[in-house]
Amino acid sequence: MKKRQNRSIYLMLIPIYAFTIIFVLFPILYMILLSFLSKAEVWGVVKEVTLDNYKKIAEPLYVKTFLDSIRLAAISTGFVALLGYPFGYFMAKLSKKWKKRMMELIMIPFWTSGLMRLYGWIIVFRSNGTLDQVLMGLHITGSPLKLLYSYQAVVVGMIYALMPFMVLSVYSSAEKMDWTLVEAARDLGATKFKAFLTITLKQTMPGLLSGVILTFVPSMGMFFVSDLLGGNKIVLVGSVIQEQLTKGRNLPFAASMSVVLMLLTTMLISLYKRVTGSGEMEGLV
Amino acid sequence: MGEVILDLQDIRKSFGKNEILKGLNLKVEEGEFLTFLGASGCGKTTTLRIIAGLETPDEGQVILNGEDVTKKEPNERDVNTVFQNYALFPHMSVEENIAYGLKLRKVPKDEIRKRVREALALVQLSGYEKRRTTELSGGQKQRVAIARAVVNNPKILLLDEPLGALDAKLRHQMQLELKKLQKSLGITFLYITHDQEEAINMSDRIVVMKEGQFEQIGTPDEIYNEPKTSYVAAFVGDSNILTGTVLECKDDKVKLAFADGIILAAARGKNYPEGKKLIFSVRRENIKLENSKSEYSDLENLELGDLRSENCESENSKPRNHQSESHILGNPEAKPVRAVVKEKSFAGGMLRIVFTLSDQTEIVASRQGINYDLVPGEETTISFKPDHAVILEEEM
Amino acid sequence: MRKNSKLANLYLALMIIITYIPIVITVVYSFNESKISTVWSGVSLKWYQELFRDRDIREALKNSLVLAFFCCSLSAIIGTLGAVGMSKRKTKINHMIEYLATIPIMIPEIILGMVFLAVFSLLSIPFGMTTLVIAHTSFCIPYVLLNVKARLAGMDESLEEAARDLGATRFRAFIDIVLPLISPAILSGVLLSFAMSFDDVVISIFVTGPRVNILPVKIYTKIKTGVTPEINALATVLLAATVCMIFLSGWIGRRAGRLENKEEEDEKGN
Repeated sequence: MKKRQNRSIYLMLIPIYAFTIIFVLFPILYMILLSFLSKAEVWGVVKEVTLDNYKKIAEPLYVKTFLDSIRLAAISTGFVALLGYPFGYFMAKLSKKWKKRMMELIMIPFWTSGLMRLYGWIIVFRSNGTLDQVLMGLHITGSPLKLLYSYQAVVVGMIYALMPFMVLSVYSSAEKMDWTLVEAARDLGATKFKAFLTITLKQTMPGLLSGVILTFVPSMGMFFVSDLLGGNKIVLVGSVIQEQLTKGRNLPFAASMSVVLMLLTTMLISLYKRVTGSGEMEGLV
Repeated sequence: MGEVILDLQDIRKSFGKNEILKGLNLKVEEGEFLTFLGASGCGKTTTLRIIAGLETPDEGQVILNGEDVTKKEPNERDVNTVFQNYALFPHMSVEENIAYGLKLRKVPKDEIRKRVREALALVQLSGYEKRRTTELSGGQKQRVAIARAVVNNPKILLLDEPLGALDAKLRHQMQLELKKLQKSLGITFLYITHDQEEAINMSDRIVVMKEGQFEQIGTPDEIYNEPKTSYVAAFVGDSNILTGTVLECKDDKVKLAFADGIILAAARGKNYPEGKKLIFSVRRENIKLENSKSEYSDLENLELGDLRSENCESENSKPRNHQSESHILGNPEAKPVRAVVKEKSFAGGMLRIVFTLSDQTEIVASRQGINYDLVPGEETTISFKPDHAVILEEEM
Repeated sequence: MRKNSKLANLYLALMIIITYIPIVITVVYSFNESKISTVWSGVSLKWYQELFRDRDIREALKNSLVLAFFCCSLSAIIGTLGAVGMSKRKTKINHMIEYLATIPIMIPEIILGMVFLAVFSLLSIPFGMTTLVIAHTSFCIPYVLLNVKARLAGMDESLEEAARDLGATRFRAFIDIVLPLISPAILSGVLLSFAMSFDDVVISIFVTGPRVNILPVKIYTKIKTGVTPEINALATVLLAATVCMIFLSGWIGRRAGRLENKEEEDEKGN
């Protein structure tokens, strides 16, 4: 019986094993290999192991790119956490009916094309756009603000695109929270604020951290946000990789940048797992 | 009856390094109601799963109806199971649940409908065909689970603590119903429980399990009255497990030195050498108390199991009070044991009195009712009938 | 204690309003007569007409739907079988493969796009629908896998055993019992996959071929070249489709939830 059972389990596992090995594991290994090669004259790679790509990344120009990307990701993540945490937390305290409504209200923009959502902001931000019209109509400003293609616009776009991840993560851990602990803390003499710090925050920490990762990681690679809202003024890792691939045709260099980026993100995720002691991300599915 | 329908031969099973079953041998007769009784983790569920085919033993054979089915899949065995949590398919109606097994056997539709109706009538749920299983109460789910299993006319029905999730009153009712059902169907029932009362009420034979081994196999009467090991004695009907030293063995009675007294125990045909230490058990309700201070309390000193003697003694107890001890023991050589009341508590309709003996052994006696004229710290003497001290087959 | 203050509710309302501002503006301007989106010159459906006449967009939409169909079916099959198989045997290597399979949604999309570009050129797979399907399937599998895994973890194992005990072969028990019970999880995983596939720009840009146009890439290039009311109309149509999808998934969720809630209530009743 064991043998027969094994056979059917193996059959079930074949597709995912095959797909994962061929289209996830192998490509990643290939990317790592590529990062140690160098670009051929026209297109393709020279089969010679070198550390040149990594040396190039260490050059100030690219170090700055990485730092800029991390800074933008950190700023965006900070705002997302500040704005999204209370949202998720308050949402968990709503009545069942309102929770469901709120969820639907969040999911609609979340599921619409991310591009379309950014497009809405372009209309709002652009010169003589909706925001300018409103502000000038109210006589708060006299002339168009030229908000589009600015750093602020990119940050707003990032926050907007990534907010749902944070809200859903925090919400799902606040949902599971044991509220009687808060009551117990209050009963034992804690102020509302103290009870929040010592009990609520602690219990919702996995959700907050997972939200931070789910925001930070994608924001490192979302080149189209800075592309559309920043107008190529802000050079991020994502944009560099894309440029190296499409214009520079330098596959090995793009690969080495990807390797560094991937190391950064896997470090973050394993840090999360170490801190929370669990393998699963809150609110991912 | 009488045919061996199931034969377990030296069944062994380990999970990782954990040896769950350590060589089980058992023959089950057709039409028997056999109960596996044991604490959780003793391997009774694994045994049942091996019989059902849901686990494969590492060693040993399962012979079902003369055929070796050890390596057969569960769907190839003529055995059905009533699962502990019912395991009713939530996406199917009651009717679809019960019909599932028959459908797989390609029974014609008309017959399926007929047999489902009969099965539902059997478990007193006629008219419930179209209900969703999620709409049923615990007791009703239980009945559907039983109907779903018996509708296939299995050779053996396996029941894994089927009444565990029900409340006490319903459980008692279901015990009677299950026993009746088994009688009328004539199917062999293998039943798992950790509840000794359930086992004694329903079974033809009981298998007491401990740590992957059978401690004792016997009729409820044997298990209850003549436990072979201290585990059985303690598990079935709260016994005190005590030790004494043999002083003399004659007339099928053993004279034992126990604490600061001397007691007699039935030897049951065995001979014990002088000086040997023996383990024996005495049920809580069989411990006789002597309270010299209060005379009327002697009324309650009688063995509760023996209603007849209680009645007759309560009528004329006073005059006989002081001779009663030697009268009951039937041997003037017995010497009552001194005991000090340690605590009294009320549990499960019984008063539980804990005594400390002179050698610091603790002994528990139980009495019906809540009033008993003994207070903690008070000294009294205890004794028991030779038949109530059961010598266990265990070395020290 | 479990009740929001007025301020908290106000905050929730404000955030939702801000979230919807760009969406509402996009929708409103799709009905604007004027070509210049900053000037309102009356209600009109002419941009919708233009949209439906635009052959490129129609082609891109068709391609996107075909792509979503293939990648959803593939990830449903691979992810479901994988989750079921792994739930039976929790070995280290299974754990490893599960981790690897979820990598595509754990790393920035740009890496995945880059990696696929490199591998497809190495294996000389022609860029086009095939490469798109492979790439999209890779980041859709995790959604199905994780969803189904979570559902299986909550499922009573004895249900499958009961079916086997009643005479079902391993295959029949899977089809009759396990599959119907995990189908809500498969469906919600597939819906999420659909949304992700339909929305993906970054990876698609790298793996799409010169002759295969898909909607997100088309929209991206259009937005980059400038704002036209036609895009507003397209955004509105997509939004309407999304709302329908959400109600559909909500309906499926409620159906599945009804089963579970009943079970819970029952247990409490006992």
